[in-house]
Amino acid sequence: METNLDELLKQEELWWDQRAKAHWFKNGDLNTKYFHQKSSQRKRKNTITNIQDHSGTTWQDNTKLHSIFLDYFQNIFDSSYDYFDNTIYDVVNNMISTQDYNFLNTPFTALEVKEASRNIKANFAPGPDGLTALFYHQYWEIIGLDILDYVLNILNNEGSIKDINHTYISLIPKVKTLIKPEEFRPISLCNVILKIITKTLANRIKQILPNIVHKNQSAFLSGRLVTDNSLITFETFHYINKPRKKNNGFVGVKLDIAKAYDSLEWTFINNTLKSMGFPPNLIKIIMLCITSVSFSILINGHPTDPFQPKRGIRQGDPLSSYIFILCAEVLSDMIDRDQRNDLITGISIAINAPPISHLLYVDDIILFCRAKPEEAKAIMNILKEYQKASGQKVNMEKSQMIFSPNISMEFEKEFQHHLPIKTSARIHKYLGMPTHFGRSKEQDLNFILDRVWSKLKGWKEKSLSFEGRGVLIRAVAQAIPTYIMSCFLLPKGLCEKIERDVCSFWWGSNDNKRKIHWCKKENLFKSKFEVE
Amino acid sequence: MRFKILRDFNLAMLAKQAWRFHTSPNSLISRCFKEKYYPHTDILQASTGPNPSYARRSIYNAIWIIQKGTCWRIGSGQNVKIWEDHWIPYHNNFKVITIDRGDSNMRLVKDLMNPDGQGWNSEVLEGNFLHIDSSAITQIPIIESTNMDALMWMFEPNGCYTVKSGYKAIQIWKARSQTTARTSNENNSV
Repeated sequence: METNLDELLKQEELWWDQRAKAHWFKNGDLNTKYFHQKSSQRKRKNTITNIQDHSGTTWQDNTKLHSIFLDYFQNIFDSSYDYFDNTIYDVVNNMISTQDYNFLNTPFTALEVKEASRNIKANFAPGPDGLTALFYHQYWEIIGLDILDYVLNILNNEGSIKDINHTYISLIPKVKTLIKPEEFRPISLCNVILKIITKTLANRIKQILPNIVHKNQSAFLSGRLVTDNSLITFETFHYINKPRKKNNGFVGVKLDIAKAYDSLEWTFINNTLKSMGFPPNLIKIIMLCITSVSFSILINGHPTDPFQPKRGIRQGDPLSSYIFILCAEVLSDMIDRDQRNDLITGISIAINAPPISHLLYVDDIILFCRAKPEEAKAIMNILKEYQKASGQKVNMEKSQMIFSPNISMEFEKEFQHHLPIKTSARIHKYLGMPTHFGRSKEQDLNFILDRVWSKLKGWKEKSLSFEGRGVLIRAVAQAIPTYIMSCFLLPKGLCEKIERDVCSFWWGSNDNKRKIHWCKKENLFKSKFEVE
Repeated sequence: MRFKILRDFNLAMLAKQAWRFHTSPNSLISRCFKEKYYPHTDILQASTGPNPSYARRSIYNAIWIIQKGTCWRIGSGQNVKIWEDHWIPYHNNFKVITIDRGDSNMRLVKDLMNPDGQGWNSEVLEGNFLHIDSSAITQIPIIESTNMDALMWMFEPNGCYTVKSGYKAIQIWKARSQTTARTSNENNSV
């Protein structure tokens, strides 16, 4: 009887654990109020009650909700592609060496598939068939051989993939109060079996990517870090802002690409891969995975009728990221070509430093050039061609330009005439890092303090035990500043403020109630190695 | 309950950047930094350089961690200076204990090896160093004389810097300096 009860309790705990989606939670509280509150809060946040259609009327009716979302997404994934000029792919011609080609062309092995299946996170949201990766991990002994057979048949013999390629689109809200369908981020929930296939492909491609992909792209490749890009950006803006002679300055352009993944054209992917020299078999499988998709949108847990997309790659499919950076390579190489032809001058921050004309982090693009109208024209030409070929849309309203301080207004106007992007005094953040510091670093970095405190002060955190609060501090509050800390030294005052907030949370204070701190702050932050 | 001391953790993370610059000199950012701030030397020896940005100054602040916690693995011995560099892993601060009299023409570790690069020249060692040094040096393995000398981070078994071990190292040094401070205080009061 007792063991039975224990078993049931454990099951309930697991259920809440999965439901609350607090991936940082390792130990501390078990099945407590905290989890319950966290999951009900999530539910409330993700429930869609009303929506505005494009004419501005708000609807609450369930069937109408479905049809509005269906219309919206069918529209996004619909393609009216009419670009058939193949010269654009010349820049990426024959990038793959024979050695890499042979590596890519070898048949897939059972070992690779097994490795890939193990890489998929066990408790993440499942696809339409409702099986999480945990199921595959747990029962690999029983189903393993069948899975291997099935997957290898698809990978090596081009078996049919259509029946497993149905995908749910889950809507993740971008802002707090939602009314428009644009304000949701579509995340795809694929079947795990499909993920195993694409992950195997991705693992294969990943290994040759460093030989192909430009140094200016720092996403998804082992050995390259986001901080590399932010550091270069920081240094370059430092250089741009240096005082120098009149009108001989530089400009930094931050481009915002709208719906980058969803609007990538399939023809463009196919032609890019072909031009790069990927083996035809591999291209066939990749294109099969991308094009045989059918989508259903999940609205408050209920799927809509399925529809067929005509373009776009899925966010949430392991292969998509690599496909995307391969396609972005075309843009990168076009800029490179113009740089070689002296149409665009990159910025070298020192005499012998490599000239930098652009930096990419997936769809975060930043361009640097001399503030001359000719260069604006060259950039605009490239962007126009790239947009037409790839289906990507640069959002000119959300993009920004920053000029050296010595550039006069008329000069800026002339530049802007060719590249219609609004100018601003400084980009606040690129990849989450400040690009420029004013006189007071503490003020510029104060947002860290706000973010830490906002994670701690919430009402639901009150229901945590001491141990649970400790885990929350270590896993959440102290993890927030780490990203900035990997590039910049935080001012001492700011460190102290953060530590003070952590202390008051630990002892149970919040905005309107103060509690006694029962021991010195130093004792909380003492290290293991100190001798008592 | 032990939370991380933010300042120390910050330094440990910045040291990782410095370590990356040192170990992968061909990445775009390493090349930019090198050309701008220290074109003629290595990041570990350089001063801040001209007109340093805040990022440069931040990383510069953490260089001492790498300097203090690393030790050279001897290959050819061409790049390691006998008297200044850290290269004896058996000593506490990895340095030679014997005081440089400045009269010998030995400067690089290479000068202490046999001319063929195989093994240590025991005559030279015994003639110029205290016993504690020479016995330690003879224990140091020479990793093929064709190999380059390489810096090893001494708080990880594989010699590569990690933020975790960097933070740990800072805490160990702190604790050490506190104990020495405390014992010297006690001695004074006695």
